[in-house]
Amino acid sequence: MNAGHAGKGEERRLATAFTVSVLLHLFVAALGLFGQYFAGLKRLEPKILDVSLVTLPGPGSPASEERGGGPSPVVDEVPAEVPEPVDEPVNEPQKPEKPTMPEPLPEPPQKKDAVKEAVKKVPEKPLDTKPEPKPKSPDERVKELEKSVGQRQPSELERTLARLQEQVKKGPPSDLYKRSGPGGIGGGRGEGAYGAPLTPYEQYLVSIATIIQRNWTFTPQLIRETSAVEAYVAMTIQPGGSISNVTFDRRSVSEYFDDTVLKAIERSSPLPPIPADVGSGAMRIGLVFTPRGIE
Amino acid sequence: MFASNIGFFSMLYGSGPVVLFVLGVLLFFSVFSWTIIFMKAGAVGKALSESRDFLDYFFDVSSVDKVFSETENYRNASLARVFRAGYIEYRGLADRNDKRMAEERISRAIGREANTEVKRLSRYVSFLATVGNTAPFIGLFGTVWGIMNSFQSIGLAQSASLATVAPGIAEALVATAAGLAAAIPSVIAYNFFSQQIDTIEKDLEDFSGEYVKSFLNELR
Repeated sequence: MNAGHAGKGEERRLATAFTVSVLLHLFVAALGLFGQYFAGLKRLEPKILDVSLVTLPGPGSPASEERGGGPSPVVDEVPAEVPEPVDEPVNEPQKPEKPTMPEPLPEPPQKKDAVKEAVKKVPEKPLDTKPEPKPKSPDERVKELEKSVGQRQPSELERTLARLQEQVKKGPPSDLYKRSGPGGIGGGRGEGAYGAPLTPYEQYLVSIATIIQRNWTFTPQLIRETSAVEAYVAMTIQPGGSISNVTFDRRSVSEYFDDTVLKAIERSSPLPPIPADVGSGAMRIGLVFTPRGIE
Repeated sequence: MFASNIGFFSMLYGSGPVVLFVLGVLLFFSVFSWTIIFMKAGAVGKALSESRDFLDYFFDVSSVDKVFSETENYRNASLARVFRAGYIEYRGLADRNDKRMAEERISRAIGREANTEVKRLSRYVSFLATVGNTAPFIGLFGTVWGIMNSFQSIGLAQSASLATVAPGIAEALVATAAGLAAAIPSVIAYNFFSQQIDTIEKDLEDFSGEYVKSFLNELR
């Protein structure tokens, strides 16, 4: 049993172990490859959902306030639906017929000596010298409630409604949007002409709106409040169909919404050429984008 | 190349050079640590089991000559190797009447062989400890590097969407996973082999005295 013999034996063992180890790693790699291959064959294409890790500006955000969105509390979450108005003090004052709280019992008068002893026992803590509030009568409570209702801040819903009313009063920013009636272009209906045949101009507008709508990728869940979102976009269509000079006549309260609108218009260019019966030169049109579609 | 575009190998395919280098180092670590594991599992296991059998034989037979002839059957037994060293020293004694000198020489020979045996068994085991301690950190380095690149690409893309962020982070995390995959077996094997080698070392210490006694009895 000499050292050289033992050394050779150890070398042989080392070589064998190395071979086994390499084979093991190759086997694991092959197993992983096959597993991935078969997993890939079985895997169904997942539904694509556009998400963003950043909070998008919407109504209530500082960005929207700068653009005239009005003051509203900033909310960090992105709710899936339109948020319910926060429960605030009820508008109607409570009926004051019956006080719900029983009258507090009058406290027994304490002896002055006992108070003095207590003060002596606990000299470190100064006694609270504020007098305890007296129990209020039902009339006083009613007055307080009325006062609080009078001072109440308008809720989010009320502010939104006020904003909408303001916008309705203002009307569309220019004449470009006047042919947009209720129901919108996408529905193929003109202003007050339900069931009436469409003019070539209206037909062309409908086809344009359909193309832009198709290219518009927009996730309503990313906007906090979809009811007040409305963007008035004017654009010039060249006779060949290319879009130029895209401007916002009125931006929506959400920057994200405006971006998606712009991208949709960019993607839609060039549009079909302007038909001869619609016009021969470049055409300036206006579209109203809302979360419900193009109007 | 791959049917699935989110699997482990697809992520490797899209990794940067630094992450690939880190993964290469970890693969090297893993291959060699498994080599040592296989080698030591055989060597230490045989040393323990054959030593046990040799001890049974040693206590059954009184003649050291017979025991020595039997040691050929226990080539891997640490206790047999040590006994062999002692016997060779015993046979080489010029003056067998000087017991004190004989005891000293035999004891020295046995101690030297026991030391050699422990060294032989412990060889390469420290590499397992090195892998166990460093592999997670090497993997972490790859991950940190990958995440740095990922954030850079977020900045360039000017978008923080999941599609921009997630692939880079997933690629980066492969390095940490590889580091842990290399480190965990190494740590387990290191602890196991250390304990086994300690046992053998203790046996060698305990039975060295018995061997010396058996040789001195032959001198009478």
